[in-house]
Amino acid sequence: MLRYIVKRILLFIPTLFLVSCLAFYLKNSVPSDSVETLLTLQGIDESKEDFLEIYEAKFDELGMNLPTFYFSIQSNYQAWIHNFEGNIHEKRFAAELSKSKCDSEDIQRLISIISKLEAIEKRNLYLCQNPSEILDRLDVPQLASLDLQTKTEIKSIAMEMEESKVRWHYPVFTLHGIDNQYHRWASGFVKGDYGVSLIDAQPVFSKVWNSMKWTLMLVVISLFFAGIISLILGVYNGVNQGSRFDRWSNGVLFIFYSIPKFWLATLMIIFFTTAEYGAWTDIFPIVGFWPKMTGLFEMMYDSWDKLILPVLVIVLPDVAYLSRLIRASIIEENNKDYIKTARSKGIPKRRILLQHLIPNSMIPTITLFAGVIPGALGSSLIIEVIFNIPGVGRLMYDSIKSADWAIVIPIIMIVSIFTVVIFLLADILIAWINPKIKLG
Amino acid sequence: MISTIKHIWKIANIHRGMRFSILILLVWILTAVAAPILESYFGLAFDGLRPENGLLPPFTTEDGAFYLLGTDYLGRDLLAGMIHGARVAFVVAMVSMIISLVVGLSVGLVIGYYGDSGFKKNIVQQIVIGLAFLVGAYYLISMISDGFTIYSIFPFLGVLGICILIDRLLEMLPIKKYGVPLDIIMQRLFELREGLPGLFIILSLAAIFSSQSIYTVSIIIAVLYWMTIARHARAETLHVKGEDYIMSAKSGGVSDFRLLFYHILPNAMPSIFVIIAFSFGGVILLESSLSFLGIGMPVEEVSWGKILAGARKTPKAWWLAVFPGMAIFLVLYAFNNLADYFGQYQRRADQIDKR
Repeated sequence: MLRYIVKRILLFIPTLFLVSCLAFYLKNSVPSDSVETLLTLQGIDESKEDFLEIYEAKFDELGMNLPTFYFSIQSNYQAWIHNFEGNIHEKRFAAELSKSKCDSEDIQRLISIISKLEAIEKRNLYLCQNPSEILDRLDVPQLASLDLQTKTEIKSIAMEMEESKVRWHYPVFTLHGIDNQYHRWASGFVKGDYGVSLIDAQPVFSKVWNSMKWTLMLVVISLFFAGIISLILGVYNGVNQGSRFDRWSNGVLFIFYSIPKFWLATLMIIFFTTAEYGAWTDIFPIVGFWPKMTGLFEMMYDSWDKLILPVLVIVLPDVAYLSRLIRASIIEENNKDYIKTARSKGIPKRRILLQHLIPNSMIPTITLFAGVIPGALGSSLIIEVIFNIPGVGRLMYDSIKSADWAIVIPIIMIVSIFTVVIFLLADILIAWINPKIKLG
Repeated sequence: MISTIKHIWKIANIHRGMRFSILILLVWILTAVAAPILESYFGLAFDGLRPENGLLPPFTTEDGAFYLLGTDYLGRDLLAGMIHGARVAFVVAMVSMIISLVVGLSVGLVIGYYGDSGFKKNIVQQIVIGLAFLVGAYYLISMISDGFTIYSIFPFLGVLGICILIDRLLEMLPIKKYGVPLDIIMQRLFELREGLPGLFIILSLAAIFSSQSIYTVSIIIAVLYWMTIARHARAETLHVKGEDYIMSAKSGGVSDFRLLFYHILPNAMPSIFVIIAFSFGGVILLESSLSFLGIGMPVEEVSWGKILAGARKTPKAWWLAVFPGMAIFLVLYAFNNLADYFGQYQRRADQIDKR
């Protein structure tokens, strides 16, 4: 048993490593500028004289000038970028152009021409992401001060690039060594240093933990109710298979099973939080403002009325899913010989139910229940966005929209650790309940 | 043809709500296919902005135009939006399911059939295959991110062809052969996928694509869904592999390819149908949640999820929330029902087998 657990925990490590690599790959491929967002929030924008210096200092401080990973596989048009010398705008401009497979010499020629221009002209041209954009932008009024010769020169290079933009390319493998962003982040993560959010400079740990509390509260409350209700319904319907209540509840549950959660949530918000359809429909408070998280029970006491709708939205489809499965496994177990024997021996119904039927039919149910928890985490994202709950899903959604990868990657990691641990717990629980199952 | 339809109709009677589900799916598919014609017939394309006709309730006639399902706050006809949404849902579901079926079924069959030791290659071959895999993955990613140009398709096919050629040549080397641990590798990948909630992955994947269309959404969904199908195909292959007729075909000298696709796949198909029906429902749910959240879908594309998202801003207009949601729900219901039916059919067939 212990050996099995240790083996499973050791198997986490490659999975977590792959998850973090995946997250870093995603981070690298998303076109976003979190440094600029950060500086804008601090009140520093491009109108300042020394903006570029501040920007570069911040960029270096965050380690964003380093390569992303231990190695990179890029097209042959991108590989030279690592050795390119220049300021941050030039680097980014070159990277963008090389992404659309322009020739390195053309890019360097273009940059050497543009770097001699005025600041405003520079800024306008460096914003371009591909050659056709340069051609379009040359006619912008801000560039009217350009003299004809430079203009034609830039135009001819851009035309050349545009013509030869798409062509044969092959992968180039570049080794970057230990000094890279991933290594920095991973060694920090292992030591417990999770960094700070790029948007508001709050520590990542407290930010994620504060929102995690909300999500956990929501998931725990709704799974508690879903578990109890579906157990009662499933067992009752399974034992009384074919009864009128069984048939009706089965039909209704199948409908709830197919209802998209976000539709249910939208309908509930529209019909039950406003007085548009008569005063009696205004049952629940308008969702939107949530008090600060103090403690689980204080929180539940303070705003239980606001929690009803989100919990209901999560619980209804989950009850539909779980109770149908519990019913099926009860029916399957009910038809087995040992139950028939027990019945013919005259053991009271209640004892058969509590001691034989329910424990034995729980084995498949636990696996399914364990599968519901990660699903609940995932669907909590959409519920949190709709009901404006400041949970992990909401934080993830906002952080991706504002390119705050310092938050996104730990969330992905935590959620995946959580899921893997829950699956492990479910396996251990099953082995504990049913000694026939041997782990290993 | 007519007798087949009659047969299906007759079988459909066995299961609760089956005829209703088939009817829903037929209406949905026909609407999706005929969407351009329907839209031109109604003459009220969803892009026609008439703010003065905003938020008309259903069954109103305004300026000589009849709004069966009402309008949204910009005065766009909801019915036209629903028709267009049916088409978007259909295209996304079809494209993503075709990709994930092709990839998932072949990967699942292969790893289920060969396991960890069946796919024997010598060390040189293994290295060549590994390198070719990396290069092929590079071209595949560039194919997805830069669009399908000949500059990535031809090298991809070229790498594939050269790899097979070199593999055949190296086959003759007199070196000891080891099994490639295909199963272990794919199991780790499935675990990785299982460890992450789908919406979280999609949220990050959607941020990669610079240009967004319904096809990028389909590809993103396919990236997630092929693994579900592969996992089930693998399990089913393991199940079928042990049967006597496979053994006898194998000893009769049937090639691996023929065995996989002519003997194992058809026999594994009935239970894979359950997964396909389920996955169709899941894909449509995913597509509508994505467009509800405003992820991945281009701004100008109209889909059910997007209309539903707009309904949150105008609680007065119940029709904006009820009808698109109803459409998603009905299609989901139909697919879930179908999966339920296939599952029951499968169980009944298993019981007959056991007797």
